[in-house]
Amino acid sequence: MRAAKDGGRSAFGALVDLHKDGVLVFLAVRMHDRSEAEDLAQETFLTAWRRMEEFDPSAPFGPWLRGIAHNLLRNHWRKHRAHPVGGNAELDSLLGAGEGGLVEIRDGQADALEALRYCVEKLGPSSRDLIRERYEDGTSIEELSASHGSKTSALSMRLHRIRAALKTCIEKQTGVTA
Amino acid sequence: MIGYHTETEALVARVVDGTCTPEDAQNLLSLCEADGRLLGELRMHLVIERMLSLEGRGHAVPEGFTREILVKIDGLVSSPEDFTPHVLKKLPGNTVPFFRRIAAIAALLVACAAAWLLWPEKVAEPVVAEITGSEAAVGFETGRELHAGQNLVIGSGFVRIRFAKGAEMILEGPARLEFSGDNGAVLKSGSASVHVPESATGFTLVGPDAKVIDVGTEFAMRVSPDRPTEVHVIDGLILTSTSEGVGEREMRKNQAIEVVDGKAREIDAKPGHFVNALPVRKKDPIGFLHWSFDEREGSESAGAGPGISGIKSPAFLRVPDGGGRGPIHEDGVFGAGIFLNGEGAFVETDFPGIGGSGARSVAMWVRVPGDWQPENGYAMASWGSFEKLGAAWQISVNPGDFGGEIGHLRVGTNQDYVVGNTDLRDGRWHHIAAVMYAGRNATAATHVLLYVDGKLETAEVKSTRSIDTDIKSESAVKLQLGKNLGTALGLIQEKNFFRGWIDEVFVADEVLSLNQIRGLMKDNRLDPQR
Repeated sequence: MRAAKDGGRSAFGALVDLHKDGVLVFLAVRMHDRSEAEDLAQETFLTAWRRMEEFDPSAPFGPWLRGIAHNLLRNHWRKHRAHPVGGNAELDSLLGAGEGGLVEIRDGQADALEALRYCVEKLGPSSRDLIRERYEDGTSIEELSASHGSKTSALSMRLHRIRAALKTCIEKQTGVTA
Repeated sequence: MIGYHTETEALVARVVDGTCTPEDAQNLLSLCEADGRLLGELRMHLVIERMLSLEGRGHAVPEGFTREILVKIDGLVSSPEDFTPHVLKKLPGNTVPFFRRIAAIAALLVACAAAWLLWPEKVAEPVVAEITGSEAAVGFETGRELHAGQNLVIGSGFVRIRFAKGAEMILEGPARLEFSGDNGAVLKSGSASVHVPESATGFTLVGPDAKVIDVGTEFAMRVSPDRPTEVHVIDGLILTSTSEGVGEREMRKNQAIEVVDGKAREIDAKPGHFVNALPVRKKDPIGFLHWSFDEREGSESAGAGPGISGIKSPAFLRVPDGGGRGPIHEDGVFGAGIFLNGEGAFVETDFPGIGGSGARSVAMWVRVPGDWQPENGYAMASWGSFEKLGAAWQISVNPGDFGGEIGHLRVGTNQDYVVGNTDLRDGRWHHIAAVMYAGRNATAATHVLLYVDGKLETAEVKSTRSIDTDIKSESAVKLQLGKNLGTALGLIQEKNFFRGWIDEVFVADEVLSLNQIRGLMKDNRLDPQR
């Protein structure tokens, strides 16, 4: 009995180790707050543990786990909406609605992230530097405007153009609509 | 966003980056409600924004994540042993004796791993390889399994991959590799060197217009969009075929071909141009020296850090032999730095440097003036001797004497050199680092990595003589900044002194990692315990 207990627990731990990166990435690209994504990733595994009896082992485990994450994400959005896109709950809701929406980024999530790295390398030096300042160093648009000596609107547009270029590049690399 | 007015794009830009007003968001809402395509564009931009944010902050799962979940599971009402029977009873043939159940779970776990790693389309594909290490490449964690049909895309740096049958590959970015099975792959772009043990004989690497089957031990392939595909045999025997060639060709050690119009053409073999090992880091604390030049006055700058092999040294600011101005303290990146005038000002230390082919890193901030001239290139930092080939270690702004683009970062070892691909001559501060590690076959020139502003440089020019830095002979010069090592022998008369600014010089007896180098850039500190 003890062996069964240990085996079940450690087997599940191994499952968590295998899938934690994928679950976190799945959630984090759909949520504004990284720590909330981490909390929800944890909740995904706890829910999986509770509902293991419902798991059909003839089906792949990944989509089942992703379905749990998906449902938790929808519930989270319904309850919290702490950071709606553009500060506008209606816009946020519209983005999340429908068969598509932010929860339905198609296949190749991990590939898309790798492609993103590749595509960032392909940017020109000044664009790459700007991306690094913004996303690695966490510099705000306002701070960047000051240090680059350009208007906030101009800098916002420049970042937009870079994101558009990255989107095109990622689609070429992966065949995936990011 | 093709087909949209600039104002609409600006609106999307502001909403995505969070600089919008409530009116902006309301306006975009109205537009999106009427235009599904615009809504789709907005979604895409939000996803790219969040992916960038995720990448920028690193998406590693926090340490202790799994442990915390298991602790929480222990506190749940449902008992932990529930898991095993729930899974097992749904396995085919539910009469498995209990002592076999753990093995059954293990098999299930493997299936589950394949199911999740890259989403449903790829779940049925078996694991054919795994990542066993990386250098200067972010996000390629050791132990990650790779599946048949999967594409691995590397922006920059090196990733080591072990195939299930035992072949070991080092892939140099930018690169794209597709895994065709447990003993082969398709190299779509980039450079790969492959070591094939007996267990993996027959390993196959396919390029756009060439195919290699290894029946020996080691080879390399380079696929580039603007150059012919190259195949080099490092050791042993391979069979190659090309898209327009007839039959297979045997190639042996030190033979190489390039493929032009689908046909093979022999070229000089350059086995040393392909990295075939990643650094092995020692377990001891890192020894290092650090000169900040923050005194702002005087002719001596205190050295910080734990020292290297018990040696510590201040930096001595020297005036030219014939008189004139020595190094001048000016504002640096962290506190003060020094300006060297290119006319004789330099810095000496009592640190002899790191000898032989020992692991080393040199990092510093440099500012090269826009009106810099090639005679001001040699050298930002150097030690060793110019009496023997390969016995010097000198970091310069490339003056173009031997090759590579003028104005780029260069490491020279006396006839042996590596030149990076970033022009430093823009009057702005750049963080530079040169690291070296010893590798298999001691082709040390392939084991020098250059970084500019925390990014790995794609080496423009490499040569392959072994590095054996001399720090013991009478001609050996101790670490100096701003002065050409060649002047010790009177070899070079016109390119003797560096002109530009230097700050925060670190020398370490270890191969600093990308993260450590970025740490130096951001925090100006190095943890000897890593």
